[in-house]
Amino acid sequence: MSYLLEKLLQIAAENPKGFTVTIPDCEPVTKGWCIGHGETQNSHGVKGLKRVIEHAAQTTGVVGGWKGYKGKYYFDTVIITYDPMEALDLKVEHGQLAIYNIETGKIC
Amino acid sequence: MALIKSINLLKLTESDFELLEKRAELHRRFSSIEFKILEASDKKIVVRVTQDKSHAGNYFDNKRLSEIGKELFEGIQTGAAIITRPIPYAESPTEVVTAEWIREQFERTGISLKQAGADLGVDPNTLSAYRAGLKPLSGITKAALYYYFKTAQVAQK
Repeated sequence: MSYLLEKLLQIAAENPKGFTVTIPDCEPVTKGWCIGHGETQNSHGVKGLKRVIEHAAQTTGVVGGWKGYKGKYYFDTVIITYDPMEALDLKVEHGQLAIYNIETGKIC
Repeated sequence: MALIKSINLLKLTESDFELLEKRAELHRRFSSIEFKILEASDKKIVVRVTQDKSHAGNYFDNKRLSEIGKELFEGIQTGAAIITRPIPYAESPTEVVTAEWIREQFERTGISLKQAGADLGVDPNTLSAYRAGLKPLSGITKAALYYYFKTAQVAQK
């Protein structure tokens, strides 16, 4: 856990705009629709990342992060799906205003 | 502070502002794409679309970045034509620096770990870890090693 925490904090520091990786291997996600998991909204800082790692380990196995307003670094569990219809359902289910296809840059 | 630079040039409802900013946040987060409104009038909105280094490696060409700039405004009632100024990501030459590249450079130049450590002000053990692929290379480390070995090669000629 502490190694993974350190590794993700390092990735976050090197990628202030954002990152999305599978855990525990920390490989970047390069395909699919990305939906932020509703249960990990508003997770920020080290404490937030710990919470997200635990949540992602038990659910999707994908952690994302990005620097938001006022320089706060946010983290969340990310759901990846290749099915656009499922992506739309998940968008509603998780209360997201928009979702993103990381391969094409499409938003819906 | 808004994610879309100079968004204040646009006359937007609160919900349209929120939607544009959310879209911009996703582009920034997943693809390192950022937007700046360069010009706005009743007839046209000129938006710059810039992609920086993306952790996912998902780089888009001029055409796609231009589409992304137009898609940003989909469903937003501006009444104006959207004109895009795309700037695709240009990879830095320092991106070639990997553990293997470092090993090759040490062999090619004949520089010792001790000498490189002294020149760079870095512990030779740290350099050894980079060379063995045991320590991740940050952007600034890649840049330092890239220009160190390039300079060394020029000096040796």
